[in-house]
Amino acid sequence: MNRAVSAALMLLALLYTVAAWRLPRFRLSTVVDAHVFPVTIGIVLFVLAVLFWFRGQIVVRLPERLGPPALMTLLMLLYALLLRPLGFVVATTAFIMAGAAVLGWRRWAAAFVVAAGFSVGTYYAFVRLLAVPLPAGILPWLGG
Amino acid sequence: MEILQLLADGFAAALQPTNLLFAFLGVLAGTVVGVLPGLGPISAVALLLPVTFNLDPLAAMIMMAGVYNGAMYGGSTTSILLNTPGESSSVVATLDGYQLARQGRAGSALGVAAIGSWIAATLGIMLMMLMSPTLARWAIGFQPAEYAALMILGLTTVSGFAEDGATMIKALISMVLGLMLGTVGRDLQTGTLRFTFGNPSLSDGIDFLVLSLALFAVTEVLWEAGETVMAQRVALKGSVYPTRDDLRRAAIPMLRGGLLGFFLGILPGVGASTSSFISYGLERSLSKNPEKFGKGAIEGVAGPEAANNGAAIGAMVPLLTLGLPGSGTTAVMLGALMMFGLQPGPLLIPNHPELFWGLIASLYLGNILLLMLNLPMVRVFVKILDVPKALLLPLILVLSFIGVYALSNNPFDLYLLLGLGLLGVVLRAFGFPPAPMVLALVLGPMLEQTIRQALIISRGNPAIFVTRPISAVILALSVVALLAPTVVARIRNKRRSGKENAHANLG
Repeated sequence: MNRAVSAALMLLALLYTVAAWRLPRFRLSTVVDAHVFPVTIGIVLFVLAVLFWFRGQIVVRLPERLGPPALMTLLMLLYALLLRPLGFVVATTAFIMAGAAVLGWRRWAAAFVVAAGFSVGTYYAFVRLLAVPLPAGILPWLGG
Repeated sequence: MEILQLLADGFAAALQPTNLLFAFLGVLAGTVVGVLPGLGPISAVALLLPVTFNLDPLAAMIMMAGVYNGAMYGGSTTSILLNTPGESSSVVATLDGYQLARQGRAGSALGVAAIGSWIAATLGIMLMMLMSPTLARWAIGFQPAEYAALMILGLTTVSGFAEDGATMIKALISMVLGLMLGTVGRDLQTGTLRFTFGNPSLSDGIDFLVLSLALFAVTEVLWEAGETVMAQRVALKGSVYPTRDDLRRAAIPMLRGGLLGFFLGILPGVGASTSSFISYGLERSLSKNPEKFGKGAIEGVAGPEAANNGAAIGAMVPLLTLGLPGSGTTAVMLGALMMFGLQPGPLLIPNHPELFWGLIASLYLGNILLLMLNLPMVRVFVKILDVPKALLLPLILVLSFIGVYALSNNPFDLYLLLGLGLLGVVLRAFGFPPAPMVLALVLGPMLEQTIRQALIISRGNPAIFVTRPISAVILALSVVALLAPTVVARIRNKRRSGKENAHANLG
């Protein structure tokens, strides 16, 4: 397993170093150009990857179930997509309830109270008290 | 007594109602997040940073420092009652703390942890107050070469302090990956766009807050979502105040741990977790009955808990005097300082004395508040452990989203957060530590700039890094930090095989 990881890292290091090498240059510049540092760390990563081939140890450890994390990832993607169009309060309430459901929560009324309370509370705290803007979305009467 | 005058001014600033309020909110929120299993100081600081976006720098730093300290206190509660530490700096507290809790002495362990944390923090703040201005004055003479060397030292020690050689390689790889992420975006000196794949959202680079929330909140939540077994907490019965006998036995380890932690914490890369391990080892070797360690020795809670809080304060010394973070958490705080338009470095204290002294004063006050929150009110915080995971995990994700969205108002950063969070899951599955990556992301761009400035001064001659004595010494120390773990392991192996040979000869 350490060899597979090492090979992946070597490939990454190579791609990165080549990409860094091909960065645009300033021929008549007295400063150290933009490619120098990236090329250097690319080479360092390659050397470390070679060392890892021989000395690396990998014991793969995973969470017991992979279903819930995958579903949570999907929900986060939807949340990111819908945050602006729906607005913070609606998207967040839906996200918290869906997330709780994925994690096995079945008491919907309680989930709704927590989700809606948390969304509205944080919305007002950030927008009103802390002047950090969050999208109002489809509920413009929430105010900003 | 100039210091007393400055300190009095600091207290005047810290005692202003709004600053006092933010100190209180900071320690409260820090404790709450710290108590949550899996979330430590770095997650706490990153999750609560958005709250400070529009505060003035002093109020923001007061709140951040409060969150940081609060998370350190809160973390011990989890380790003692749950046996699943929130973060690496509290691992040691589980060794004896959880044993004490199972013997029905949870109150004593929690009390000793809180008092030890307070003593260590107070000692640390005093030392920080006395040392920092002098250190900053000395560092004003530092040139880019010295700074570059110091950053390299920080980056190598954070990786070198892993236990065996294999883990050190992993930490180094994680660190270099962080440096690589740091090169994304517009190069400040030439304006060249690097590794942005034509995406304008990447031209400002990957923000430290996105990466730290990804690796320390999103990864944690995704991972925890897949775990079915809920850790059962030990019930908290009886008094939360330690017995007189426990206090007597814990007093010296607390002082020792606090001092040890502070001085280790100052060193770049040696964080709270390392100092708590070292303190545990020290207490065990000094103890008259070392066999009790691991079975519920109060000294094994007092020393390490004091040490990690001492280290948390110590780590703020290089942050405030040199502008250099030595740990993941202080890296996030450095990012925050820069976000508030402050120029970190040796001129920070001379240019903004009100900030430094206000922060010192509020640290004193914050730690008194923390002692009150964590002794008489610890039962309230313990209740946080009973919040169902199914509701808690989505809330943590929402807070991460708020942080990232409020930072840039750019939905692209939300996808970046998710992507880097998944990267964190992969790293964790393979056992690569995430903290060096965050530190490297913050230090990387600074390191590149200072190296180039040094080379401009020397007209391109790289010898500047070894001909300037301070820089040469620091670089030599970095090499030592890289090689020491391997050499120590070799010697240990040799001794072991030597002993085995001796045994064989006897047999």
